[in-house]
Amino acid sequence: MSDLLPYLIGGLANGALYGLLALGFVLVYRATSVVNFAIGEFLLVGAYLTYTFALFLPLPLAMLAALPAAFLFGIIVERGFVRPLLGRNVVAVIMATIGLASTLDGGAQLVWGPDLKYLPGSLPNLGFQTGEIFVSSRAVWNLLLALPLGLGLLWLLRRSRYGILVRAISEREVAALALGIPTARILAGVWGVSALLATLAGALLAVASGVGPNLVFLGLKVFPVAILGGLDSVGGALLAGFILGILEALSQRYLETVLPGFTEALPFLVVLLVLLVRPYGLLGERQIERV
Amino acid sequence: MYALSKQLTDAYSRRFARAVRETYKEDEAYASTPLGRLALWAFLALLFFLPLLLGPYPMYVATLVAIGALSALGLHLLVGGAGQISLGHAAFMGVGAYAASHLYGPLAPLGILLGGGIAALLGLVLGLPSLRIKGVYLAIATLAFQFLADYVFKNWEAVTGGIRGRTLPPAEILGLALDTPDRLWYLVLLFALPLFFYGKRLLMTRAGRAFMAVRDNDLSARVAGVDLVGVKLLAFALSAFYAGVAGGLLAQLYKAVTPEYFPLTVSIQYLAMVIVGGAGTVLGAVLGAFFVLLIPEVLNSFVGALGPQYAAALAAWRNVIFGLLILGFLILEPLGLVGLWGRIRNYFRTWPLPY
Repeated sequence: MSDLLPYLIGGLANGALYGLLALGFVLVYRATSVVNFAIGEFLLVGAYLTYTFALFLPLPLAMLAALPAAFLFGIIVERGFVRPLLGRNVVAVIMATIGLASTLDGGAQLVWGPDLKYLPGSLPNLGFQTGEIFVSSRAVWNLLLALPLGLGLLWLLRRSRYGILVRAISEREVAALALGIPTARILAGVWGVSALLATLAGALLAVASGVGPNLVFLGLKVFPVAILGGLDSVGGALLAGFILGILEALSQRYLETVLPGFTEALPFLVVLLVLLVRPYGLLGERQIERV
Repeated sequence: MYALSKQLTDAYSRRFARAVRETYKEDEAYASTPLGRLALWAFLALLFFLPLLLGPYPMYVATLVAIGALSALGLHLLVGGAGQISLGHAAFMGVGAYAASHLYGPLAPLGILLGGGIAALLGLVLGLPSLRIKGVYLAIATLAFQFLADYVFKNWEAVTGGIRGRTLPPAEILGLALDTPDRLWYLVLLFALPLFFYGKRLLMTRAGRAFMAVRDNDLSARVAGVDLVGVKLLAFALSAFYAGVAGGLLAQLYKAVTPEYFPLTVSIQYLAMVIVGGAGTVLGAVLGAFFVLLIPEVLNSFVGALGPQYAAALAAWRNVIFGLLILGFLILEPLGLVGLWGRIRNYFRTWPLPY
């Protein structure tokens, strides 16, 4: 048992980031029914933004400075690539996000180079030891930032004025427009928040293990998480993030000796299994439309 | 002046434009005007004699483009036909390639067919859960399949040879080894031509019309009596079959199969072909494949001219260009190159006096 615990703590730390990332992804899906295939690139660009700011500022300040920049980036994406396709088939918008993903992927490599970059400086060490178990600073920071932020967003979505407006728009956009809700502005804001969350997750990853083009593959885990939690469930995304983190930790501990490299494939196996058994996910809307 | 313009326009229409189709036979024809028929036959003859006209390297590129066009046509039947997105097209090609790599030499054509069959079966298995749910689940399921397939390609050593992959001897037909691109070209034609004519015809049949009905509005398609799941599954399996056959041919061209031929970026490249080509026509798939596959070649020659230090940036530039192509065509010209061509043609049809 005691040799399993470090794995579990690492899994929870990863899971917090998955949850954060999936939260933004699901928020966009609910509000606009667009599956954002560029979410991995949002993470990548966010991490690189943090890296760039960290060259001039102390790290905590750089992480803070990257957030408004990311928000702006999300709004630009919405204005530039999602808005012009409004009213067209949703498939077209999803294709556009695939095109955007490819562009950002290559663009980031051209701007920042293909090699792994480490952030100068680090966050204050919050790691501690209780008995035999060592909890790393990374895990503490991830949980400390992700959990309150995720739960806070859930609360905002449920209680605050803007949360209610977002839910109204996702319920029925035309009706929301007729009621005078500033739909365009709020949808842009939703994309901004999504990019902001991705950036925070990217920054935390960058602090722990540097920034490189491979970060995109971590971003792609948002799909297993979102499907597992239910594609339209914001709370489910947070929960499923932790579950996937723990699943990966268990696979790392027990399966890696038998099937090397299997942990990389596991999340995607989860996708297919969930689609087969429970396509609405853990907390998703049960009245999923079948055809 | 009006009379002159009308006369010119009419003369042009009679010669070059599609005539009004009055019978089913005319509607089914592959080319509807005499000139169109002539062009079709000339094109087929050109395809047949192409190895006599081109050198070894252009021939290699031509074979690559033909295989790419075949695969793009498969994806196109799914995306442009039935309106579903697949991000696993490269993985299906990989399945076909690995299957074909086990039947080589004289058995190669059989292996290629088998590769298509296995890919189609896998498509059915993958499509069954994800196509029964309304929405974008297929796109996510195929993304998952792409990564799972990559894992299997890299780790199932007994069948795929692991990361090193497999090499295979050239195909043989009647004792003649198809070891150069200009010989392999005929094997590619043997598979590609029937599949192209089938794809072209398919969109005119009941099944193809059902694809389009599902794409345009699934509710009204259902009201009209279309079996949604069946149609989507058929489209998906068919697209996987085309990909599998193309993958088998690609294995013959490269004479080797390794996992790195079939990553996610290749899947996106095929999506780019479909969007760039555009608009539910077979011509679109060919134009798209031609355009998208020639970009890396052009970039390569740029790098050759500028020096090897830019080679690292090449992959990045390729991603940027594919992405921008997808975005640009989606936003500016949703009908793709076919739509662009149609606009140019219409412009010249009424050319001197457009009003």
